Amino acid sequence: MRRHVQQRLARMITVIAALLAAGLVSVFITFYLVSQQPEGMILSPNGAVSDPAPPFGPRLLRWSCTVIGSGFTNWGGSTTAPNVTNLIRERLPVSVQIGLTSWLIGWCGGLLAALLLIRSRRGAQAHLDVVYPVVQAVPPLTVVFFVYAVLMIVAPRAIDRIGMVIGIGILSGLIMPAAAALWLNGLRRVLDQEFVRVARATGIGPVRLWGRHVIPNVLVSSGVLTQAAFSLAGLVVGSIFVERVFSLGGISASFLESIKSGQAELAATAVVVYFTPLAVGVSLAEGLVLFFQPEQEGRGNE
Amino acid sequence: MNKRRGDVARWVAWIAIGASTTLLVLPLFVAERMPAAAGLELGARLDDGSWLPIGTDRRGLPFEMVLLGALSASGGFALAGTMGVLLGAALLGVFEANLRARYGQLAVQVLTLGAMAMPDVTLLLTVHASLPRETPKLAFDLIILGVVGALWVPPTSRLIASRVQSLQTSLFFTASRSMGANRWHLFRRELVPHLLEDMGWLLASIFPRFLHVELGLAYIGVEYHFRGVGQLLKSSYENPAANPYMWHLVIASLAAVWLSLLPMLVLRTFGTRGVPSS
Repeated sequence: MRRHVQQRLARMITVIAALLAAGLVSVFITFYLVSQQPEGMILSPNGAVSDPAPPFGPRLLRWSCTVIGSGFTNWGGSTTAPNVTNLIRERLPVSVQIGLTSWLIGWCGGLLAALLLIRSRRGAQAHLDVVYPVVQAVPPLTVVFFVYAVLMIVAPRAIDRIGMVIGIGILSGLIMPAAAALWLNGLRRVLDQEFVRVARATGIGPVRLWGRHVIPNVLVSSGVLTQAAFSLAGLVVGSIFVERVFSLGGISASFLESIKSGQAELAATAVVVYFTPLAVGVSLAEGLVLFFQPEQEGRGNE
Repeated sequence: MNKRRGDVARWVAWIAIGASTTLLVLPLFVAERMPAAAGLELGARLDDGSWLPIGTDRRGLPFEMVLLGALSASGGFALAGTMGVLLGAALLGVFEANLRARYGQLAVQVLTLGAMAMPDVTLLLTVHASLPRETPKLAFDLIILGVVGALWVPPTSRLIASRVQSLQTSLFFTASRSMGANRWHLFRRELVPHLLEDMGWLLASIFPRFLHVELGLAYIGVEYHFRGVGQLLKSSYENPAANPYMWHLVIASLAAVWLSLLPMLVLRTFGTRGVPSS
C-alpha cells in the first residue's frame, strides 16, 4: 500500500513538473516572439516613451524579477496599459465569470439531463448516438455568430441588455451535451455493478446510495473529473469569442491587441492567465484520480 | 418497416453527401465571376435592376458563389490539416504502443501533457504576429497547419496507442504472431483494419476543430491566402446594420455547421457509427 502511494506520488510530481516546464516554455516563446515586433516600446517611469525596446534578454529578466519579486502581484507594464495588474483586476473577472458560470451550468445541467435520460433507454441512446456527436462537431463560433445575427434581426436591443446572459447560455448549451453523455455513460456503468444491487437490497435510502456510492464512483471511474477540468480551461479561452462578439468588456481584447502591438509583458501575462486553469485542471484531475480511487473503491464496496 | 425506413435514410444521406461534395468541388473549376459574366440574374434587386436572392458580398460578387468558394477553401484547409494529424498520430501511436523503454514512455507522456496544456489560440496568434509582414500567406497557412498539428498529434496518438495495445493483446493477434506472421503482415492485416473505425471517428472529430481554428483566427484578424468561411463571417459581422449582411451571417453560419457535420454524415452512411469502439 505504501509503495502504491509512493508510485502515485512520483507520477503526480512528474505531471506537475511537465506542466510547469510546458508553461515556462510557452511564456518564454511568447515573450520572445512578441518582443521582436518593431513597434514594441515600453514606458519609462516618468511616463515618456523610451527609445527602442531593450534586447529580449534584459527585458525578460526585468519582467521576471518584477513578477516574482512582487509575489505575482505586479505584472509589469506595457504601452497600451501602463499597469498590467490594474488591467487584469478590472477586466479578468468578466472573463472568469463568463467561463466559470458557463462551466457550472453546463456540468450541473449535464448531470440533470443524464439523470432524466437514464430512465429512458431510447432517449439515452439517441443522445449518445445523435445529439452528442453533432454538438461536438459544431464549431462554437458559428453558433455565437448565428445567435448574434438572429438577435440583430429579431431583437437588436436584447444584445445590449442581456448580452452576457446570452453568451453564457451559448457556452453552457455547447458543453451540456458532452457533459450529459459522460455522466450518462458513467451512471450506466456504475448502476450495473453488483455492489449497487447489494446496497439496494440491504435497504439503504436513495440519497445515501447516490451520495456515498454512485456519484463518487462515477466521478472517479468514468473520466468526468478529467473532462470537467479540461472543459473549464477551454471555456476560459472560448469566452474570448463571446466577449468580442457581444462586446462584454473582458480581458481578451487587450490580450489580443498586446500580441499584435509588441507588448511582450502583457502577452506573457496572457499566456500565464490562460495556461494556469489548464494546468491546474490537468493536475487536479490527475491527482483526484490517483489519490481518491483506492478510497472510493473501498467506499463503493460497503 | 424499420428496414425500409433505414434504406430511405441511407438514400437521403447519399444524395446529401453527393450534392455537398459537388457544391464543394465546383468552385475549383468554376470562377466566382462566371455567373455574373454569364448574365445569370437571380434574387435581390441591384441598382442596375438585376436581382440576386441574397445579394452580393462587399466586392459585388454573387453571394452564393462566394459562399461555395469559401466552403470549398475552408474544407480543403481543414481536410489537409486533419489528414496530417491522423498520419502523425498513427505513426506516433504505433511507436508509443511498442515503446518499452521507461524513459521513452516518460518522454512521450511529458510531451503529451505539455501539448494538451498549451493554449493553442494564444500560441497561434503569437506565431502570426511574429512573422515578417512580407511572409507569403501560403507559408503562413502551412505554419498554422504545422503548429496546430504538432499540438494535436500527441493527445490523438494516445488514443491510437491504447487501441493498438489492446489489439496486440487480443487472441487473433497472438494467434497470428504465433503462426509466424512478420511485423508488416501483422500491421497490415491485423492492426490496420481494426484501426480504421477509430481513425474514421478521429477524422470526424478533428475536421471540425480545424474549421474552428480557421474561423477563430480569421475573426481575430488573421488573413489566409484563401478566402474561407472565417473571413466571410468576419466581413458580414463587421456590417451588422447593413442588409443583407446579417442574412449572410445567418446563412454562412448554417453552411459552416453543415460543413463541420459532413464527415460524420459520411462515416455514418458508410456504416461506421462515428463513436470510438470500446
